[in-house]
Amino acid sequence: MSTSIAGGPASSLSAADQAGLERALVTLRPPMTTYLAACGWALPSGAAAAASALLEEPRAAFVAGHPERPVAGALERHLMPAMGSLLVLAAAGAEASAIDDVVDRLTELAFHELGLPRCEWRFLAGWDHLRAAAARAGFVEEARLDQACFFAGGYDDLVVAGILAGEWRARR
Amino acid sequence: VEGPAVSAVAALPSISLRLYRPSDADAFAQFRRDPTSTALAFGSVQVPQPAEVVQQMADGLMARGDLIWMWVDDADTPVGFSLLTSVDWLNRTLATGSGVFSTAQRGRGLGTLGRRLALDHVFNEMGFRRAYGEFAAYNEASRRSHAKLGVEVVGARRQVFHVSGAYYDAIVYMVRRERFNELFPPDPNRYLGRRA
Repeated sequence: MSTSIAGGPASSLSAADQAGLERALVTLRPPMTTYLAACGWALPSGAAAAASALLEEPRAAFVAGHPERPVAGALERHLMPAMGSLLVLAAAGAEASAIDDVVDRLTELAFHELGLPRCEWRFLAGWDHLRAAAARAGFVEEARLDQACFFAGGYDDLVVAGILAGEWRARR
Repeated sequence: VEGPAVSAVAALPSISLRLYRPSDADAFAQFRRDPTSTALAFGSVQVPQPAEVVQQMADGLMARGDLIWMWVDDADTPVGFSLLTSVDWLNRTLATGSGVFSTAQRGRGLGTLGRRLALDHVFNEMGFRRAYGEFAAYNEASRRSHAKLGVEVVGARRQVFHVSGAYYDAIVYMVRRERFNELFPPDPNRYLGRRA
């Protein structure tokens, strides 16, 4: 199934788009508690409050994919050091194209619209679908944090992947 | 990885840990007035800030759950600090940063001792499993100090630090509790009011 994508900074988001993000978080968030903690993405409880937190400056968020297998992504802009942090939550069975759509929009926002010099994305080493998506988008695995996150019954490593503005432009 | 720097540690005056308090803002402000100190510790050079601004920053850090621990001598004078960030109580991990306030006291093992005290408390009194951190690629003193504590380098975040017009990588490291305790076994009776 083809994917549509909605989102952006809160100022450009319709009420329907925000509702779509909230619905996606209802599906995506509960199993991700430890992952969100490991990545430092503290979100308030409740889907509406969490969606608002992902859309509040200096953050922006997008959602894509089938409603039952959504993909939600967010970008947070940091000032010191200047860089963007990506968060991508993908349901089991989410289409690779939906993940790619979200990552593309997040990196375009970071590099083309915000002019950031670097973006970073942290995901579990065992999440092959996200590792593959990161590689497709040009991210380089820069570090691996041993047993950083308890997930699905055991500890997994956290991969730190990064892409520089010049690398992103060279791929365009 | 080198073994523990026991002789260097033993030759130093004793230091201990305590929580940050507002009167410590002056020591931080003085530290941050030295561009070399901030480049080494934070990977950036900042405009000097008065103690009041430092206090506001400390309040902000603590409000988000970071911990600021002071290394103090027998007279309770701050000689250095540990900044514990990304404190993840679910997965029992955190990130550490640290520094020695006085340039005259650097290069003598004081930083290694302070980091060791902080890691010992983090691992053996607070139950954390892993400590992560990073230092600027140009900070050889930090690299040597961390190597004495069982640190493993696990990668480099590219072009994170920006100093004097050039970008530098952040060397990412990790300390496992098991490895740290092999090097510095804790005395299980130390706080139980009985001898080992």
